[in-house]
Amino acid sequence: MTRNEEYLALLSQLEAAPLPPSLTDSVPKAHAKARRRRSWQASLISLSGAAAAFALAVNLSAPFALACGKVPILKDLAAAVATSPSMKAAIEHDYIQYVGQSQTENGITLALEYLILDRTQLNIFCTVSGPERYDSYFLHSFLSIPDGEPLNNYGVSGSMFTPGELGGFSVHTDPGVSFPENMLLTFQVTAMERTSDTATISLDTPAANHYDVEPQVIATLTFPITLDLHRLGPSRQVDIGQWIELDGQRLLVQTLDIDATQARLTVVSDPDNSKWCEGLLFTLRDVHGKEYKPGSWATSNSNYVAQGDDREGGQVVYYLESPYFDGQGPYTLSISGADWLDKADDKRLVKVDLTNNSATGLPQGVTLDPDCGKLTVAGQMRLAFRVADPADPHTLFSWRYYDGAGKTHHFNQGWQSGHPEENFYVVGFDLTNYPYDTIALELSHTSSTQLETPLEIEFE
Amino acid sequence: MDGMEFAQRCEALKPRLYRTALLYLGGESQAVDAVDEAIYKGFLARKKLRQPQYFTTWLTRILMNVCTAELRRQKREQAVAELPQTAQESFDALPLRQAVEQLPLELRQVIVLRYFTGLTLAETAQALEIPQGTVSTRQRKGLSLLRLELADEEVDV
Repeated sequence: MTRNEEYLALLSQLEAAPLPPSLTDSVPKAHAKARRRRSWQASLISLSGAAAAFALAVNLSAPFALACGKVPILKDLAAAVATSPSMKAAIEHDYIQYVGQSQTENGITLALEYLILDRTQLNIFCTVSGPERYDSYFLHSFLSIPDGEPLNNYGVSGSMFTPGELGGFSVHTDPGVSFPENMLLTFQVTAMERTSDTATISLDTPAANHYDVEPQVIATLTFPITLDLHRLGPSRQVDIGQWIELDGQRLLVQTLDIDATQARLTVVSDPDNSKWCEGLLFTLRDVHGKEYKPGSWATSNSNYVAQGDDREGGQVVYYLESPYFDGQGPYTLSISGADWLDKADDKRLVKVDLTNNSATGLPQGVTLDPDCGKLTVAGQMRLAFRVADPADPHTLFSWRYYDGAGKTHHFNQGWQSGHPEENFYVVGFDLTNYPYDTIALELSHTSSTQLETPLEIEFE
Repeated sequence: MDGMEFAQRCEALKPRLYRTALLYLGGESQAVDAVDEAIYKGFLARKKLRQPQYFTTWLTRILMNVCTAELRRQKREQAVAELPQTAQESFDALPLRQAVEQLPLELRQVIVLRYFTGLTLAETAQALEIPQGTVSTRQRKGLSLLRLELADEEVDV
């Protein structure tokens, strides 16, 4: 059979095939769903005499907030949390709070839909939409109390949004710090314009054309919210207090803190270690053998992995899925590996001479790109390295670099460019107004431990 | 557009919408969900459609956005099979339906809409919100990869 004959046969087959039975009532289902949505919104208005309907949504009494938990969850929220067992469990246990506020500025509309709150993590679900020329949005989030005074001691996970698609991100407080009941959430929205098909970055089409080094804020929107703190259950802390040794490095596995939407494993390094721990590979199992994986929310944009820096106090808090609702102890922590960064400068730093395109300390398989040390058309200093496989620049380098005077700086953003037809890729950074002839970039790690048989710790 | 007219137009278009989603997403249950979601979104937005003669491309556009969002979600969870444009031999080895399902996304959109949904060049450009020239280019590349010798002019489906 020729390809054309195959096409005609396939077309006939598709046209003759009956519609799946579940599609026969699509329109009535849509009608009914829309009616439910309208009556839900109408019941919000009927609860109070306040003028603005969206403000009503946040002045919820505890009983109404509980009722929100019983409203059928929209399909897009279910999809947004599909990869997070902790989030799904939190929703099932009524940790969800409906907000339903929407604001528009400069053609950008942000709809703040749901919150899922536990004692140390606020998960925010919203949609962002705007002109067709944008194919992704990024929200820079700021929290303050109602009088405008900024909150401190919190961190925000990544929050990139596909236009019109419900997405979410997390706000984490430092241990011991609670969210206030009333807050202002301010979002500064930046956007990425649709790019051409080519992914090649060159000196003539620098990364600034693809990734704004200093993105322009296109809208600033502030939402008042009231958190329903009554539904929060208590946190639990499990003392572990066990030392382990991996590749000659000692780590104290200190505590496991358990909240509704995430758990936190605190690990402290021995200050006499010759390497800093840059990441721990582990899973947690409960008494039933159910596994809880690392990361607070395993979606591509908002997976919060760890907080803290081994070189600053030696303590790192690793986030993982939570056994709060269903997972009972005793628990087993199974450690399968770690990434290390050698403390010695000559092992952890790649030193680049920008005047003659040479470098020392490059890892195996990494070479300097000929464009390294040159200026782009935008006048930025190009740092560029060739690798064999596509890579995020921060799988190779940390955020930290040292200028020619030895001062520490942090990269805002890196880029990657593909040349698959020539079997290489380029990762790099562009620096604005860089006056020195040399630079030292810190590697993300210098060695890794991978255990064939994981090291296991059991605790109650 | 009132609810009755929307329902009538939807019923007539549903088989084509399902065919489109099925080839685009590669699975019956995903296609059913996508069509359901697109019809729901279309129902909510029906009053914004000022020119009912564009109902087909309008609802198709909604469906394509739903399908693309689903594919992005699938891609986040696991690697989704998609062959590069240079893998001619791999395309040749596949049955046509599988080959269509593994076309790069932007080519797959055009091929499905042009040759399995029956949209014209102009309607496809409208549904995907891209220039007609881009549709032509992607159509040519897609047909070449699939080794299909189909006329560039409109095809009756």
